[in-house]
Amino acid sequence: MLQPINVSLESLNLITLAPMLVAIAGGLIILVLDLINSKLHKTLYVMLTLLILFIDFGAVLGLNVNERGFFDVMLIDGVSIISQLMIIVASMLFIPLSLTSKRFHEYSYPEFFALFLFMIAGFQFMVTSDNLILIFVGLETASLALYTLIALHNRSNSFEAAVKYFTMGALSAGFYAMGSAVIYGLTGSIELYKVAAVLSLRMDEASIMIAIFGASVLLLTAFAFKLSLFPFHTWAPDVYEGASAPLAGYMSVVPKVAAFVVSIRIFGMYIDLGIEWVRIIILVLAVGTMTLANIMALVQEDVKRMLAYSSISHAGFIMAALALDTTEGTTAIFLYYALFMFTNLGAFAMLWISRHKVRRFSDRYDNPYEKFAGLINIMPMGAVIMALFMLSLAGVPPFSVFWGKIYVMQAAVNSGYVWLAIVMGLNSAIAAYYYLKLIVFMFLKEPVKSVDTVYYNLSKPLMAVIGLATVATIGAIFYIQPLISYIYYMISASGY
Amino acid sequence: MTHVITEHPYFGVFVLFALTAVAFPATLAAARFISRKLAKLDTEKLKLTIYECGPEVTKQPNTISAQFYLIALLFILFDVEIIFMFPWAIDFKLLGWFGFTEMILFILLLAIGFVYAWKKGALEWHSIK
Amino acid sequence: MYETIAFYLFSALTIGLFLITVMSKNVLYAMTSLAAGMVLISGFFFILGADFLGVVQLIVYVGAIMALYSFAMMFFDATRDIKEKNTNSGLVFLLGGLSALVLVMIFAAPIHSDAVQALYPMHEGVGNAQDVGIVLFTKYLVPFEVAAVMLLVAMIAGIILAGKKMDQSLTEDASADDEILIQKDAK
Repeated sequence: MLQPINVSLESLNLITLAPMLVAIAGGLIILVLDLINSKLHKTLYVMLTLLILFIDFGAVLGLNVNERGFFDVMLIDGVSIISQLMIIVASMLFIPLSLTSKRFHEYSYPEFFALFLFMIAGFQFMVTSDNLILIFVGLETASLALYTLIALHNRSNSFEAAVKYFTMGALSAGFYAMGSAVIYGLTGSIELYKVAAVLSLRMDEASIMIAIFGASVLLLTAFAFKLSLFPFHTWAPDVYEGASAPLAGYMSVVPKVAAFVVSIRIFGMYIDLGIEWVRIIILVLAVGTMTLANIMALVQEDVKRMLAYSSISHAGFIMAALALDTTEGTTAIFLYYALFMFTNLGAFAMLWISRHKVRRFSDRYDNPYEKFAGLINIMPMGAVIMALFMLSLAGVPPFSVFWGKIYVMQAAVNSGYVWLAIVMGLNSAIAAYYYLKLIVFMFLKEPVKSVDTVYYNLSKPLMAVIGLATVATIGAIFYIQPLISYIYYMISASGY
Repeated sequence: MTHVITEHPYFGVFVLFALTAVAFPATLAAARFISRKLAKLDTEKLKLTIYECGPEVTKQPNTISAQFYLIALLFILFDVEIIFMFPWAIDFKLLGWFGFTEMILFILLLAIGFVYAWKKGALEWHSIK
Repeated sequence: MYETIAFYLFSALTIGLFLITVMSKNVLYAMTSLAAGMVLISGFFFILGADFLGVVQLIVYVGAIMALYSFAMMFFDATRDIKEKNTNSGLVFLLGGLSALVLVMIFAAPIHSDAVQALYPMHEGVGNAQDVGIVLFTKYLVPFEVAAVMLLVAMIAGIILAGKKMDQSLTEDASADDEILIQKDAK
């Protein structure tokens, strides 16, 4: 018979769970608060969410590197700490964007903030584990909340976006589950460190190779959906267009950071085991993604769709860094996202302040290029800031994304992929065209209509967020060196 | 060998399955055969429709309350929750206080969901807030 | 012996029923045969000795998921026959068959190699549900609690998306200003 189970609390290492517990408890507090008094203003919830995020941030900073907890299910390594910090910082930038001067549907729900916090907890679980089951449950928690947040914007194209994203997400969840099942069938374990140990002993069996091929193709497809990589990227522009602008900006950073962390854990393991064709598939996906998305971005008529394609192309850049599988390459992934986060959220926030309730310039699009024509005459400060973000995204020195691009290329050259660096350079050159197109519209064209209020949706909190993003974009040159060394230290400490 | 098979706990179930596999189609076939012989042979689309005590169902109205779906959804969620309780109940003595705390946390989370659903009127017909 | 017979019986019946699900143009037939197929799948779990999973299959799939499907079915006009427009059904069959074959190969490959060791082997003389419980409540404690959060998220999401508040969109209401946050010098 079975023995009674005694578990000591010390062996659980409760501290590893602290950051997620903060987020979940915060979400529950918001829910209960709403049940007690449903008349509270959204500013209270925004402040409460920010406070919880601050505590969460502190809890993550208090973690020690390379610890395991809860029967080895939780894994706190450098990668997980950096990615959690990035997720929380991006969330802190996102949340104040709900304080607009016009009312939008999603922010009238306190549940919006509760679901948001549950989503963050889900992403945090996803990045702090190498157990495929916990990754899956975290991913699904976060995704379910995210679908709802998109649909809550409550107009027809946001429903379309939510349903599209949901369908794609369900498909990728299915692929993920099947891939994990094959891995379990292969090794009898779903913990990646044990999987790696078993696989390294049995690499020479032919049937193992078939199964590894199957598992990695299934998993790669799942993550290609999540990361919107080339053949599976088609949902992204529609979803970004349907979601509200801040949420679109958020979606181009946070879910992708989380998915990249899991990809590093899984595909980094394969490449470390010497399965070279995984690297080749990833490289093909990456090059295809950046090139095709760039070409598609050229022909867009809507700024938001253009930014959506541009963020797909940036994801391709970062995927190429994943294929390198060196410490420098992995550092490049996080550095790039840390820099891209501020610029991209800033650019989407600029779209958000110019958001009108009715489409004034086009029947089809919210933010056609014409809307920004002659912005320099209407809103000089806004035009300059938007131009800054565009230049940064295009990779013009000394703005933030430039340093990310340079670092990725340097990592590529250092591991012997000179052609990859050249492809990246060419792609940056193509990308400059569509970013400059917006700048030309803003500075050189006459306004289409005599529009009095382009910055219709403006409020002080939005200005603060955009100001912060601008400072981070311009001042990158001052903090880039410590940032690199911090990330590099964390990554090498966790052995990637 | 035969002896071992008959002693298996699921042997009876298997026999039932086997019987049903034969008897059920046979009965159906017989019933079908008899009714075909007796019935007036005209194919009517309405025969296949949902039975709605009396009034003819001609066309389903397109807007059916989402409330139906919500109730089904709540049912699934609590159903899944209950499934987790079975293994816990079996292992209750083995797991002791540790398992008890775990399950209390689990139930607490869903109890908040339940109170939420109740307060928002999701359990009442057409009064969801 | 009897296991073999049971396996082939269940296999044939499951495949047959799911074929009806796919082929039938009547949504009622499709759904009923889907439910029956789900019941038979639980038979495989019982043959394999996974009693707990068999019961889960019955309760969740046959009980709950089918209830959801039947509610969803009410949104459609069940009396109308579906006119399908797949002009090239041969290609569909070929591609479907091929991908099924590939999946079978992928899943069969690890079995072909050395026997896989179970990470948490069954204890002798202990019920399956009991073993599942031990692993679920020790090793998989965290995923179990996160699953509770996931169920909570799903519940909240369902309730607010089906709520009456969604009928009137503030997003499209041009007069919906926020008095506290409105910018006084917005000109």
